[in-house]
Amino acid sequence: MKSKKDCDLVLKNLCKYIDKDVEKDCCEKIKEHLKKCKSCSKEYKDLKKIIKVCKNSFETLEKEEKERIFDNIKKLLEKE
Amino acid sequence: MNLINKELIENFKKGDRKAFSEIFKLYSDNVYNNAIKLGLNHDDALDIVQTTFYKLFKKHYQFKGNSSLLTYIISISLNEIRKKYRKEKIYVDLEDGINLSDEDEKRDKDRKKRLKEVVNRGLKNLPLKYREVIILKDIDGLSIKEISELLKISQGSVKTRVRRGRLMLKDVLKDEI
Repeated sequence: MKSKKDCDLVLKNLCKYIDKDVEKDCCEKIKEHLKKCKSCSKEYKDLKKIIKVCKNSFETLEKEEKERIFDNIKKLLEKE
Repeated sequence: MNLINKELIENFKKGDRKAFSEIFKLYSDNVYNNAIKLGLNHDDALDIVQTTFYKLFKKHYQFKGNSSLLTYIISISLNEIRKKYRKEKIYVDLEDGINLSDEDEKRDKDRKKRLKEVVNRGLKNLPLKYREVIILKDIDGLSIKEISELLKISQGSVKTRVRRGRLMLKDVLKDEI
């Protein structure tokens, strides 16, 4: 499948496809379409990249900060 | 994130401090990350972590296990973040870019750090309702069902927000990553 209508359908369902939230036959159709359609395939890759980048942007606390906060909580609990 | 086990949760529900300490170690980063991604500064985010886990321990007996513990912790933290928003009128939606301090500029050399800043800046450009679901889905890894329960909106609405949010973020970040 490759027509404007197909592209619209694929683009509309791309997020669900990435989240594995589409029916099996729809999933196959999208998969096939992505092999043939450069622009949809680019859209798919860009979206995947955004999700990956989001995941990799996870902010963490320094070990000392964690210890300090936990000590503060302990003190607060002991006060009661 | 999957290191949590039933025994640990049961001990926590009984008020065991050691279990609480383990849970703190496992999930405090999630709370901190969400606060930063939702636009709070470092110090305010630290406050959120402290208040969230203090309240978590105080309410340990209230956790029934209907949701995952992470979802429960996030629900407490989101309430605290919203309170801070209201109290300090933080309208981060309209903020332009990021003001880098000297210290930040030094650390900016680190590629990972830069990437985080780009994503944070991108997220700040998203309306709060989209930003929230992107953080919960794509960073915390919660399911559509969990997010729906947490935000008290339908699963369909969560999916729509995830889709629109990702597309908006893609547009915002397209020239930067």
